[in-house]
Amino acid sequence: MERSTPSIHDLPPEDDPERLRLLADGAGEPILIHDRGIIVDVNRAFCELLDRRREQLIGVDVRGWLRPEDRDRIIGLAGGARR
Amino acid sequence: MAAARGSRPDHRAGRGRQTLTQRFGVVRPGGREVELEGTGSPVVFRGRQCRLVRLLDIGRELEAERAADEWQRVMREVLQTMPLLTVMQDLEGRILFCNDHLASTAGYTCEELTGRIWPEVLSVGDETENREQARRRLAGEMRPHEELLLRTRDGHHRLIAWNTTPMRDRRGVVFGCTAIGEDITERRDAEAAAATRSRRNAAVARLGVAGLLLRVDDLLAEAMPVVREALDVDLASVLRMQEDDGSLLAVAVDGWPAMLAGTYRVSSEAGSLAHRVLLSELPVIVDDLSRERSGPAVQAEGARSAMGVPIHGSGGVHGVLMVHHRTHRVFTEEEAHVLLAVANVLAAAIERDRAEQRVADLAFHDQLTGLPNRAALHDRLDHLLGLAGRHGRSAALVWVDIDHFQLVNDSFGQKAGDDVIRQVGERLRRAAAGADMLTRHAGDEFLLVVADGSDDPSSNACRSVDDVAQIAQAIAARIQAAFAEPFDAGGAEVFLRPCLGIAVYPVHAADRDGLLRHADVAKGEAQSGLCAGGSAGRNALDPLHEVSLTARLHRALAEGRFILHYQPVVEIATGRVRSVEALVRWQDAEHGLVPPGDFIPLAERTGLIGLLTDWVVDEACRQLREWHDAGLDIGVAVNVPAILWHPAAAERLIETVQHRSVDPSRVTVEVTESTVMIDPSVCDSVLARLSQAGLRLAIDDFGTGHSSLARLRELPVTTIKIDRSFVRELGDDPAAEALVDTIIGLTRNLGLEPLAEGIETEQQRVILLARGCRLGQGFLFSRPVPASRISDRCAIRRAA
Repeated sequence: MERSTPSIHDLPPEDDPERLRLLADGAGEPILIHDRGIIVDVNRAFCELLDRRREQLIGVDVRGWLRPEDRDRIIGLAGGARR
Repeated sequence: MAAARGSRPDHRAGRGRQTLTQRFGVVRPGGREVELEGTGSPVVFRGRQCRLVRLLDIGRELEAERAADEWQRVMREVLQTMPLLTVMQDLEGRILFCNDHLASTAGYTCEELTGRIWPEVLSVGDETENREQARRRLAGEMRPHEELLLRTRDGHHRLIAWNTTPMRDRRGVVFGCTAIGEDITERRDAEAAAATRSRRNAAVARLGVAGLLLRVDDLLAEAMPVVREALDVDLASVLRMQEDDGSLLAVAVDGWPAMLAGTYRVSSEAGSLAHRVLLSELPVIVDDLSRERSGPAVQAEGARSAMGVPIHGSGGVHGVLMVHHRTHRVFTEEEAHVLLAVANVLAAAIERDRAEQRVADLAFHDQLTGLPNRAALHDRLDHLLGLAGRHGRSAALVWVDIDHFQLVNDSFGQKAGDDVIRQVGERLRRAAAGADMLTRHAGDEFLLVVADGSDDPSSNACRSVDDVAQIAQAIAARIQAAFAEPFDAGGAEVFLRPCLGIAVYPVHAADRDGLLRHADVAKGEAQSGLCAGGSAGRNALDPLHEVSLTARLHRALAEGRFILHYQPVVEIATGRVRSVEALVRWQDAEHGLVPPGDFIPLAERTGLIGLLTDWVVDEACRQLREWHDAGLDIGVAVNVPAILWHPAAAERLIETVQHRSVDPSRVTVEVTESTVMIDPSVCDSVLARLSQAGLRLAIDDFGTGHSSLARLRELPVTTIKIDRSFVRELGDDPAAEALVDTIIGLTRNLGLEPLAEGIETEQQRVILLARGCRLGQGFLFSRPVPASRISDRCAIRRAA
């Protein structure tokens, strides 16, 4: 009886990468993580936004995609660009 | 991680730790931009201080927002530029929005109106009620379409057709309304004016049709309420111009007291509004009657404003059509035209009626005298005789014409002649009492009808045939008398003589034409007997001379300008005066002594001879009385013309003799031979009557006529006067001598006294004396002389 209902203990551990990936990709809004402008990770929605695969986006400077007039303002606010 | 954290400079960490949201655009492959909103939060990823950014695609939202802004702008513009009034109100009636069109219609600006409470500013009427209505309207209890008056800033009203829609918030709760309105003031005014115009035109048109069907009086009465309704006035009236004095008489009224119709009169001197219309022949509009001279009726009705138009046709102005209003009112030009249109209908009807009456008048009336004419007479006679025939009643006809009327026309012209005919008509009218009808038949012929009264509903007594005949006789006598006074022919006095003939139905004729014929013939007989004047005949006098002579003759008689001269009748043997013949003389103021030959025939033709003879007989008798009183033993002879040889004249003569208290045997009546021989029936009775009264009778001018010896013997005559034409020839012509001898012998054989006239010579005297004629007169003895000379002469002879 108790077996039929999965308990939290049946789920993979919180730091399981696959679980995190599922959660991130499941979100409808584009999400990215960048380090001073350089993309370190993105979810699927973001990939779809820019019509690129994940591998093609990681390591790329996100500023390259910004509209030129927004570029400096956004980088500054985003925590400073690499100099 | 701590090392890594520590490795970050603080100035970056300060910002890096913030959660920031900002918008930006990303250029997608292919160049399309995407609007994003990014919310960045600091995260540690794989030991590094990173930022996690969540992106929100805001492109579509922005677009909607911009579109909404744009939509609002367009909508405002549309609402502003729309030629409709637009307003949004909340439940309090507070104006949330209004367009310029609404504001300017009301005389405000949008800024002035926005925030104001509608019922306080723009509604007409009671504010509380307006608020209540507004509440109901807003609560959805109102009709979506309604027409309401809008009060403008300067107090005028505009009529607005509103279309109202409630406004609801997202939850569906009504919080106000939107109303779109159209200013229909002009359209409604125009519609009202068009409706009024069409209503008025229809009224005028109906009246026009009625004008063809109704009698004028009825049409006028009918028109009054129509005018009142069409023009929405309190009082309407028609004043007809009276032809005699130019005054205006109310003939139809509405709104006024009904008794004014036919009685209320505005004299021509009044200077009233109606007379101004009459004089100007134009519409007159008065806004304020208090500044006018108004009649009592206008004042009594409290009329404030008025309008009048002439009733004007092709035949001139017939009157005035008036409307009055009790409150102040400014009549418009269009209203004046409506009134004029009605007046035109009335004028047409009046003129048509006049034309019809004129046709009837022409058909049955004589234009000159206004009397019924021949057609009317025939009509009347047919009617009367028809009745009389059915009921055994009677009727009479008196035919009058004027002796020698043509003389008046010839002397004074047609116009004066027409004028005299009119005067004759007038006198006949006065003399015609008792007649059923007086008509002018033709020219100088007038006919009177006497009815027996059987068709007169007011008289229940029917006259007998004798009554009718007597009435006719009485009328004839009055007509005779009516001609005693002269007529005025273009300023000259003219004496006329009527000739009369009477015919009585059913005594003289059985039908109309027979009756007319008989009256005509009877008149003709009377004319030969009375009018023609016997032997006096027609003198070839200048007509003008004759007519004016007639007038002078009349005046002379009235003024006593006639005198008598006397020619002695003497014993031929001794020259002793036995009697005198009275001869009339006229001493005219202008022309001196007028010879008898000039005026006696005229006096006979004009009928004056009767009066003249009366005077002669009276004066002769008076003189005879005087002579007798003075001891003179003479007789007097007077001439009675043939025209007076009738019983009535004989009676008058006898009366005069008796009145003057003279011995009738000393008065001789002389009558011509032709008179005695013409009409034995009349003559004999007259002679018998005179003789019976003791008068002596002499036959004048004997030998000129065709005497029958047998008749001569029958007559109660005493003296035969031998005509001067035979006496004149004595001594020259043996045949004349033989003739005179025969006459004397005859006379003596009949036991009568011969008397020779015109003895001028001694030879004539001797011959006559020798033949046995004892009496004579002539210049040999004496001319006709004044009475005083006769006295002298007798006195001399007596003294001698």
